[in-house]
Amino acid sequence: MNTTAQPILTATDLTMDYAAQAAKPRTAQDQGAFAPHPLALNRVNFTLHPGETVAVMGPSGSGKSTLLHALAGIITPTAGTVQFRGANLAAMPDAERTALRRNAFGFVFQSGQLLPELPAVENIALPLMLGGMPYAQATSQAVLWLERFGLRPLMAQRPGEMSGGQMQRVAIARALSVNPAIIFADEPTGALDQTTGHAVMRLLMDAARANNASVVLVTHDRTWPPTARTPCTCATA
Amino acid sequence: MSTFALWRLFHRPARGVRGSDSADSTTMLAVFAFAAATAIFLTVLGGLHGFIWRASPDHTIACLLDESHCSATALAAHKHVIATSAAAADQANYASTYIMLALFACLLLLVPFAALAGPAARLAASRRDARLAALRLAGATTGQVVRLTAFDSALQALAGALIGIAGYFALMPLIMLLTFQNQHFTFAQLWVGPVALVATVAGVTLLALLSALLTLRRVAITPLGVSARQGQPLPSKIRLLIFAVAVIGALAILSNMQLINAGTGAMIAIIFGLIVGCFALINLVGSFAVTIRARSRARRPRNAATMIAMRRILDNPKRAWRNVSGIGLAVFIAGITSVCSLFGSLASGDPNSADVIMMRDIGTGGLLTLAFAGVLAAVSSGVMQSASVIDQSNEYNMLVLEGTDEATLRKARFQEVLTPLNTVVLLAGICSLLLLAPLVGNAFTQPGPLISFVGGVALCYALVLVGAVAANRTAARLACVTARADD
Repeated sequence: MNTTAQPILTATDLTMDYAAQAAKPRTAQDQGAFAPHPLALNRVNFTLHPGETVAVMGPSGSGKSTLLHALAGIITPTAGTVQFRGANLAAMPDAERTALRRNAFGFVFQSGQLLPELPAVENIALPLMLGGMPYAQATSQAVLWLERFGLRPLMAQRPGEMSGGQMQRVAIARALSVNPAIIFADEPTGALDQTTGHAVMRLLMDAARANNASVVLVTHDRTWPPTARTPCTCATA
Repeated sequence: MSTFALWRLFHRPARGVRGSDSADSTTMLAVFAFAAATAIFLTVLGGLHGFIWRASPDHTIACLLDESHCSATALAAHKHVIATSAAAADQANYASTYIMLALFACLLLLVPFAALAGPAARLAASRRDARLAALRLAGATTGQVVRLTAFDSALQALAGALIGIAGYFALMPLIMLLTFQNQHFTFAQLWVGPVALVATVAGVTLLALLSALLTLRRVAITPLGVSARQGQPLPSKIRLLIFAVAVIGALAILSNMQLINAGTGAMIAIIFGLIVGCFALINLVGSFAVTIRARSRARRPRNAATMIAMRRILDNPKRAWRNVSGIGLAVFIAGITSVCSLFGSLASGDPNSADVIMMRDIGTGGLLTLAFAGVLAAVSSGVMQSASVIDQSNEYNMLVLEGTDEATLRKARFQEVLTPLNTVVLLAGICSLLLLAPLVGNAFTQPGPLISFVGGVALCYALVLVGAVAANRTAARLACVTARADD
């Protein structure tokens, strides 16, 4: 980790007000939404350097996932800016932001991100094919990832035929397959037991380090990852 | 707690609740499906009523079946007209044929009509899995959960049927523009009467109720999480053998017949048997054909959209087939219609003679039946596709979050419909040409019937595509309602 280098991702004064994002009030009762209310994010500042791992912690409802989604350009914050390698995400057209998420970011969620109809190898090959890679080449690379993670025997199996831990390993392989600059992980071990969770987390961290990818990790587990900087402990709003 | 109380609990207005939009729109789609089916059914029934009205001296069915039930004055007037006018006498001779043909069209349309009720009921059950599972966990019995969903479906059908009556009235002026038996229909002829309207509404509601109960039998709603769908194994390969034997047998029998020389009754029976038989046959092997096609395309997909689409088809080939199977019937109707048009154009003699008029009318009626079958197939396919998109919304949303562009997802959904659609058109087209060839000789080698056939198929194809694309877009927009994630 090199914290003296230029940050890869910065967020300044991020504010997210879900009530303000909602439709205009239509009735007198709806006006209640515009009464003083807590914000999901309240002027949050954030920096992430290349190769760095940052853990975002806090109780349920404190805005961790909102922060992660805003940093990844999935949602547009009510106020504030997010810059990736100096480019303002909010100023980008939607197509460009989509391409950025596809090519520069990797995502690992708690569950449900694998397509249930696709076997493991095609689930991993999918982001590569979305980037324009031919099927044969994409699946060859996907097989390499499966081998690296010791999942080769699962190649032809579909998510419904795998355990939770196996599914998360495949999801990590998929996130890493595009060689992302940043991996956004939203409680990736939340649905796993402690032992499996730690094994999956170790795999994620090792693989991210090997690929020099930064990691933004939303987690409840204060013990993992032990090397992470924890700049953002979200409080219940 | 009674089922009705439970139902009321779930149907309170929920202002500002995210996600309720998609449930509401699922309801709207199901209501639309029932409305379209009811409007078309009543229109065809109106046509049948029109022919009965014309054939019966006092315009009642009882009089048509037995002259002793006719009003004496009406019967005398009718007999007088027939005695004094050769044209009226000719038309009276063919009146029963017209009624049989209209009845035949009604029976034919019952197939896509019934096929539409199933998916509409399935749509009623979709998106409610989690809610129903939660209910089971909270202590509701399976019976209560099943009744709740069936009640929902029946209510949607009732609303749809009532809207369908409005559709029937809206279609009536268009039907009045058509000429049958050298005259336009009148309102009195097309008006089926209040009893038929009430019976249709009750029938549609009952059909939806039964479909929902049958559908829910396959969806075992457990208290643990989402409903556990029972796996659907591929049909036995013996079906392929039955298909081959049936086609060869039918060819052998049909080669010894000449449709053009058969009597009217025999001709209608042969055509009806041919269409229904062909439809049953292609349904026998449809999911196999779709599987084979999807497997071949999934082996080396050209892009991500093709890969997703083919894998989704292979995940449940029966569902993929059901989405478009209605078009198979439309293809057969297109085949028969094109041949009838040829016979109409070949009929020599006075263009105002009853023979020539009837052949022309068969062509017009065939086209009308084809259009209705196409619309029913399109609505059915659109509704099923919407249900499927809404059911898959979580996975698609996740793909969008990860950077999959909407165009790729649209393309995947489009191909998911297009591949089975091409398969059914090809399969039904070949079966139809193969089985009609021995009956109509070289009719299909002439440009007229061929153009008419291809045009009819293209019309249905376009209808299904437009329906599927429109439903897809609507459903995709609904499915992408973002949920607040501020934990």
